[in-house]
Amino acid sequence: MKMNPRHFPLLAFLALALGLWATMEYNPQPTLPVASTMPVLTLQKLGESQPRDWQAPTGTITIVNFFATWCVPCLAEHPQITRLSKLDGVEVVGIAWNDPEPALHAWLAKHGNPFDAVWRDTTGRSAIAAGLRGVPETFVLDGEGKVRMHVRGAIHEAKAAEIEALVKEWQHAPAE
Amino acid sequence: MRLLSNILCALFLAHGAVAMTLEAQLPDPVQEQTAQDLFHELRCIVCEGQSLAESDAVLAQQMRAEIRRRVAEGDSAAQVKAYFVQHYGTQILQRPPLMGSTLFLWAMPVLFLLVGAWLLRPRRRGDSQ
Repeated sequence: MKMNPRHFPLLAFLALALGLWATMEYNPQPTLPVASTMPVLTLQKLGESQPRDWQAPTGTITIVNFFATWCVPCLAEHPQITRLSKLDGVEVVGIAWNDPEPALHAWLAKHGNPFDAVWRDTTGRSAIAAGLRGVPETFVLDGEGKVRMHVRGAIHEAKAAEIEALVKEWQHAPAE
Repeated sequence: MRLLSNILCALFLAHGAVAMTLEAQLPDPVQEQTAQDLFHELRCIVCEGQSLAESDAVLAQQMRAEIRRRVAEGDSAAQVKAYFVQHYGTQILQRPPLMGSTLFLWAMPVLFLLVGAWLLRPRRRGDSQ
């Protein structure tokens, strides 16, 4: 089949558009790659005045939830975080980003506190170390403190069910 | 009225610059310059299309503070950039590195020139029919 030269500009345009589209996603990997170790975070524990290092516990599954009292999607996912906190053998850690302590106390008193521990990141250092783009973001860590799932945005019911299934699968997996 | 709108425009444009200059700068001018250069080389991850230097987002402010802290602690510009790439991927760089997946991006200006030259090539009469 002989190609009409008049179609060349159209073909060139399509090739460029395709190439651009492919380039748009040139860096699709998540910020903290799955199976990478959760970095040590410098945080202030709720009720304490001095920051200290927080390290992901080993030997237990940990869900690290970055949230904020001023963040509406965080409130929307709160029932799902509460649901996950009721799972056996799971520690749920809340890290409040850019939140004053009185606001945090009031928010937790009003909406319930599903967290085993609440920490505050007032400088953004931990947010940057975790590759945070905003709140809410949630990391599911295995018993070795490795990131197994990273959820950006609010956890909806289906995602909570997925996390729950994953946790149960790990808990029932035979030890290596 | 015109004066008022000019003042408002000037204030709007100066807003970002003022926000950044209000931040505590490093006492060492060389280190501060290193940090300032990095602000222009790293992208704001919240408001894409802006560099850290231009952005007024809270995360961008915190990133600038983190860059200043690392530079003050003696990190080189390359080390600071590597830290941010490790946590945010190469997407955080204003100049994407030349690698397989970005090859097309870098080749595009040449491709555009070639396509343009082909479209504007001298033609004999009757060629266009």
